[in-house]
This record gives sequence, C-alpha cells and structure tokens, in this order.
Amino acid sequence: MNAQFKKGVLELIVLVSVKKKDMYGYELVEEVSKVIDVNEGTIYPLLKRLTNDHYFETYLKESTEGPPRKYYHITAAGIMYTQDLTKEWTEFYKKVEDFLLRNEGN
Amino acid sequence: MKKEEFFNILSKRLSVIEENELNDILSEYKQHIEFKMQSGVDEETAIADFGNIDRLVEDILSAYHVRNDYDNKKSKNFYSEKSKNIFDNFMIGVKSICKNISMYINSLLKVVVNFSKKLTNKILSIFNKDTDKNIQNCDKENDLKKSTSTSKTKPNSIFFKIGSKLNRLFHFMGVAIMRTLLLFYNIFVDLVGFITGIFALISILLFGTSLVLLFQNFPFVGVSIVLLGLSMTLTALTLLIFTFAIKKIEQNDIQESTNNSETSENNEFYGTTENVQEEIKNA
Repeated sequence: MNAQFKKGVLELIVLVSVKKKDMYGYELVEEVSKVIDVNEGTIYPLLKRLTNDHYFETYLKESTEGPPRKYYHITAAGIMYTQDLTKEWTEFYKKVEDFLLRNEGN
Repeated sequence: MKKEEFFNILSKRLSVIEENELNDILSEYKQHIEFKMQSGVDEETAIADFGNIDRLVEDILSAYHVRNDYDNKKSKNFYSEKSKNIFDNFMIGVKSICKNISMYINSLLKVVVNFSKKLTNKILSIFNKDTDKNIQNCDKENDLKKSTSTSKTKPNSIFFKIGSKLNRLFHFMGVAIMRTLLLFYNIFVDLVGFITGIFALISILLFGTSLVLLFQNFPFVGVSIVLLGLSMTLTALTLLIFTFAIKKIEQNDIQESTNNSETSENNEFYGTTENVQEEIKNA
C-alpha cells in the first residue's frame, strides 16, 4: 500500500480504534496492523501527537504481567475531531470513487 | 541494533524534550519491545520494526512541533561556541602573562623591602645590645646607690630615646623610599600608557580619515590597512601597559609590614625604657 495513503488514513484508524475502547500502545499497534501494514515507528509518535493536541488522555493501569500499561482514552475534542475526519474521509472517498467509476465506465 | 544502542541514540537525539516526557516515550518503546519479544520475536528484529531511526526521531519531534533540523542547528552553534572559547582562552592567556609579569615585579620590590627591613633590624640590634647593658648597669646602680641613680640614668634614657627615634627614622625612610619608588614606577607606567593611548587615538582618527578618502577613490588602501593595524596594536599595547601598574597588593604589603614592625619594636623599646624609668622613679 502507498505510504502517503497510509499516513493519511492511519490517524483516522487510530482515533476510531481508541474511541471504541481504551487501549495501550502495543494493543493499538496490533489492532492497526489488522487493517494496514504499518511500522511501529509511525504509530507511537502519532499517539504522542494526538495526546499533545488533547485528543487523547492517558492513564496507567496495572497489568497481571509486567509493568503498568499506559492506556489511551479519547477526549470530547478527540470525538469531535474523529467525526470531522470521518466526514472528510467519506466525502473524499465518494469523490474518488465517483471519479474512478465515471472514467472506467467510458 | 541492540536495545542499549537504540535507546542511547533516541535519548541523545530527543534531548530537546523534557526529561519526564522523554522517559515516558522511552518506557513505552521498551514495553513494546518486551511485548514483541514475548511473542517470539528476537530483540534486533523488534527494534528493526520501528523502521529508520532518523524517521522515528523526526516523527517524534514533529509530534512536539519541534523543527526536525534541530540537531543540525545545534551542531552549527557548536562551532561558533568553539571559536568563542578559543578567543576567551587567548584573552585568559594574555591576562595570565600580564599577571605573572606584575607578580615578578612585585616579588622584586618585596625583596628590596625585606632587605631594607633587615638592614634596619641589624642597626636596631646594635642599639638593643646597648639597652641590655644599660638595664644591667641600672640594676647594679640601683642596688648600690638609690639617691644618685636618677641623675646617672638620665643620659642613658636620652640615649634610648635617640636610639628608638633613629630606628623609627630609618624605618620611615625605608618606607618612604619604597613608596616614592612605587609612585615613580606607577607614574612612569601610566605616562607610557597615556602616550601610547594618545597615539592609538590619533591612529584611529587617521584610519577613519583615510577610510573616508579611500571611498573617494584615493589610493589609500595600503595606508588605511597600516593605520588599522597600528591602531589595533597600540590600543592593545596601552591596555597591556596599564596592567603593569601595581596598585593594591604592594601598598597593603608595605602597610602591613610597617604596622607589624612598628608595633612590635615600639613595644620592645618603649616598654623596656619606660619600665626602667618607672622602676627608677618608684625607687
């Protein structure tokens, strides 16, 4: 998959995943990897950026094995941002889809 | 790449980030690597899955809205700092040389002072012997005759007074000579500095005028360069010369030495003579 496509969509996938359920870093990497093949190096900085922009909150939770895990939780601003992004994505997707259909039809 | 290397590089290149935050990031990566290793991946491939470390650093920095070329800028600044340090070191070296020269002169002056002190002490010691003899004489005479002792000790006491006064005179003369020498030296240094300073100012003035003439297309390139060099060297020279002037250290030394010697010798001399006189009076 094209790297530029990935980068654009990755943010949306991460936001939607965390909106559904609070997750810790590694869990999120695994979740995202189901959809797109992405390297871990891009996900953690993205999580950091979303946290710094106040779309995510973090909290520590003890785990049965190993050190406490840092969970990501979506904020109200994050939910609004996810809605905007989803809208943008669907509009963009529709436009591209229409364009492709029209041109393939000819 | 091993774990330690990976974290060393990250912590070095992300040093702009606050320590708590940095530790937070690093601990998260550490946890991620541990999870991966638990799932059966070895250390090196787990780290390799993070991709290019340069890209990783760039991404993390951009998450904090920090410029990616922060590291490059830092290295540029490093060079300017280095050159600054060289200049500072040079100035420190010049200062230390000046200090050493002035210290040398100081020590020379101290030697002269000490020599004069020893001379006066030797002269004093001659008088001291006389006083000791006189005291012994007094005691004997006191034992022998009480009524005539007062009249006989009078010339002796006058002799003491002359001695002590001579001692003080010698000392005062030594100090005065040292002070005048110092004064003349300082005047000489200041004068030389003043003259070179005036020349420096004149050369700066000439440099300015020649520069003006230069920009009016006169063939003054060589002259202006020479004057620039001259003005710089002369100002440097004046500053150097003024550092040769001896100010506080030497004066303090002289004062201390004079105070000490005066007090101690006064006690010895006046103490003995007065005691003797009192004894005589009491008797």
